[in-house]
Amino acid sequence: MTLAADFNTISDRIGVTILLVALALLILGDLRPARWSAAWVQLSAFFTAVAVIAVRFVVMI
Amino acid sequence: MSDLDGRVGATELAPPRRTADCSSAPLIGTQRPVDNIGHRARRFADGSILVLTAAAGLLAAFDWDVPGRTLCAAVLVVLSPGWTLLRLIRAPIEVFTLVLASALSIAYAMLVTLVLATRLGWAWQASAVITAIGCIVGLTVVLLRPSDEADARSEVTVDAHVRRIPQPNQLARTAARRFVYGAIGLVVAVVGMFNTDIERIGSWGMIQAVPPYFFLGTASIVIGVLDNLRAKPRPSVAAAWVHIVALVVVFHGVVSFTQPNPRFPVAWLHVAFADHLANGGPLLQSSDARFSWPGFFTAAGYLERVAGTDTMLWALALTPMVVTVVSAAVVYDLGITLGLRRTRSTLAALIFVLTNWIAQDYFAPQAVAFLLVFVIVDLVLRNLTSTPSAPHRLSRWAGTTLAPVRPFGELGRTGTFVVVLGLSAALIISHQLSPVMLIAMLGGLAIVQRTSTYRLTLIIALAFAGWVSYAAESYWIGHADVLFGSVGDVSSIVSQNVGERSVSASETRQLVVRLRMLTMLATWFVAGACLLVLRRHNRLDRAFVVLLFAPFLPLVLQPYGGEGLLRTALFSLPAAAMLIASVDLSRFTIARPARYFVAAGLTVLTVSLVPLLMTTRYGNESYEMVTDDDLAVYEAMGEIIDEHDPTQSPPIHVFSFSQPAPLLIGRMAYYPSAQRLPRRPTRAAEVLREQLAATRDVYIVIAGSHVIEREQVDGFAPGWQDDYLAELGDLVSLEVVASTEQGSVLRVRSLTP
Repeated sequence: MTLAADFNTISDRIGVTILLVALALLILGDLRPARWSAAWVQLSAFFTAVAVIAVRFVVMI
Repeated sequence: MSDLDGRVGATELAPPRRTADCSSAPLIGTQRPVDNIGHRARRFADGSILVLTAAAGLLAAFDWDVPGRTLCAAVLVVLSPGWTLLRLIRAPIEVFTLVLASALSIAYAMLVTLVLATRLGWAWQASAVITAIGCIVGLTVVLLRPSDEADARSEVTVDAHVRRIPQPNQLARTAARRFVYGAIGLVVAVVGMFNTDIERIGSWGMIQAVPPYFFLGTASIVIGVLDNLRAKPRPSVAAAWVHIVALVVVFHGVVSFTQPNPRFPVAWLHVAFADHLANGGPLLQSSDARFSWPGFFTAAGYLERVAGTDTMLWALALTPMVVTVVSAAVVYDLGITLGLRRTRSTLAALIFVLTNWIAQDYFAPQAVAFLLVFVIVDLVLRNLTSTPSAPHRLSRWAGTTLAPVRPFGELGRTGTFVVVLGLSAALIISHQLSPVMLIAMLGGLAIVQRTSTYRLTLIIALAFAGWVSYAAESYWIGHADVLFGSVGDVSSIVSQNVGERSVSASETRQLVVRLRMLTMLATWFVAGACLLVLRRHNRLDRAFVVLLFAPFLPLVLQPYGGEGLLRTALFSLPAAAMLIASVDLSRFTIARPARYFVAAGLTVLTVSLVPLLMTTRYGNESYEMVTDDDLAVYEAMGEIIDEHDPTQSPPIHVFSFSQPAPLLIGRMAYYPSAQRLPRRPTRAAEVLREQLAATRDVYIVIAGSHVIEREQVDGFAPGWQDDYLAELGDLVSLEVVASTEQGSVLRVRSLTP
């Protein structure tokens, strides 16, 4: 029994992993700003997450 | 509201520091906590929860059925993990601690049981035992460790020179004064409950069944709340809260306890979902969108197993009461966070209770989601608040920040972030609309610089979008145009949410729906007027603006099947209630007699909200209650299903005029094949023929409440089902296999009559 995305395909696993890493970077940017709040890190994390979600939507629709 | 605290002003915002009231009683020379309970009481609370948790773990481990197991299981699932965590970090014991502990525990249950259901083979027993052991160890540490500085700091003390001890006769007089209205009201209301005749429920709903003097009882309780809040020299918030709880119990109790069965078929359907998962069933995402957000159902299934019960039907009657009281407590704490005095916050809680006709507090994901959203908002406003020295233009326009900072416990920024993300994760996996409300509120608070983090909003928004795109794809694949096609289409959204809700309904139902709309509009109008008054006096906290208007954003994006306006009304109601409670009308009435008239008028208005709420909230009771006759029909159909050969696929196809929710408990395998019968007999005959060609056994279940629902919602004439079946019988062959006074089970025999 699984959720809709069973995460068994390589693309699903890669997508979810990238999304989680991006979210972790955004969280660290707030909690450990001295090390992780650089603009390029935060913007990269944000737009990567957006891109992963957008690609998923486009592919599935 | 006038003169609740015996002072006059534009608003009733609390002073930065709390002070105790002086009375004529003699002084006492010790210190005593105001907001928190004392050391012994803390140990008692910790010890009680420890014992109940240990009992729940033990009973779950050996699956023993003993009396009280349900209570122990409820403590283990909805209180203990969060309580243990908060006590380990030395959180003070206050109202918010209890609410946050429940929210954390429920979030923990949702997240863990989702993993259990999808990855770990539904190992509920192991999970319950491990959770219980963790809580036992944590609470033992809490009980054994010495009280330290953090504990001492958590106690707000009253200076000795202002603390006074009352005399015994004074105590008795005070207690009699505090509770006389409530006691009388409770007795009258309970007598009214016993004399409620549900046979009299008609098109106006529950109000027809309740004797008129029941409302005298509720009026007395409401007066008791107001009297305690404006008592001089010392208002009693605790006594007012006792009255509010009594009001909630009798108001919802008169509906829940007088009906033979738990009410509301949708709640029965959610019980069926939970029961299905409790027995290790799969997520039926292709059958129902709610399985794409299964957190609530997996947690409910887990509670069912830990409690050792066959279903969760036992929770249906209690859920509205518990959720309403906890929601009111959240409103109360949020009000204090936004600078209201405790009396004003209690008044806001009362207004929330009396104007909440939206009825989303039944056994459903949105009930828990509502609590999670406002617990998160409250926690963020307490611990991640922002007080910019030079606020930007938009912030200044939206208001100011008057409330003193009242951080919760020793969580700090990191701890708050972790807790908020945990609660948000549970919210995201449990309900499709509430995360959008949370994102709108947190985003708005960040934009007006009321909170110090905008990343939190981004993270939650991305996590929600990630869940929708990866885990809930069966919800939107193939329906993208429906989901996103209405964005910005205001006329379509208004049409779906307002016009179409009662366009074909019976005359009485149209009146009830209009009363609901009127209540909603009146609440928004008064709240808006209060907002303008506060803004004019530069006493408006900008958080109010955000919390009142942010819930409208999701409505603009998506009509949510015509229910978007209901959700907007629900989520804006706490802010509306707080705004209404925060304005002191005594400023506008200078002459003393006029003040008395205004006070009397407001009291009458408040009291009359109870029967109005009974009409708007329980106006659909003629078809939302589940009668014995309905259950008899479902039982007859259930016997046919259970006797059938389960190897056939699909074994039986069941049609009905509305969803036969009670039939599905324990029979979720038939959920995809349970369909609504079309409104027109000719179309119904076509559908039946198609099904009969595909499967041998096609049945029609007609329940009495379904017949009334069509009369009320679609405006069908009384007795319409006889004409319908006669016409249908001319098109296909029907055989009555079971019948009751109001319902029947028909078998479709052949393609021709």
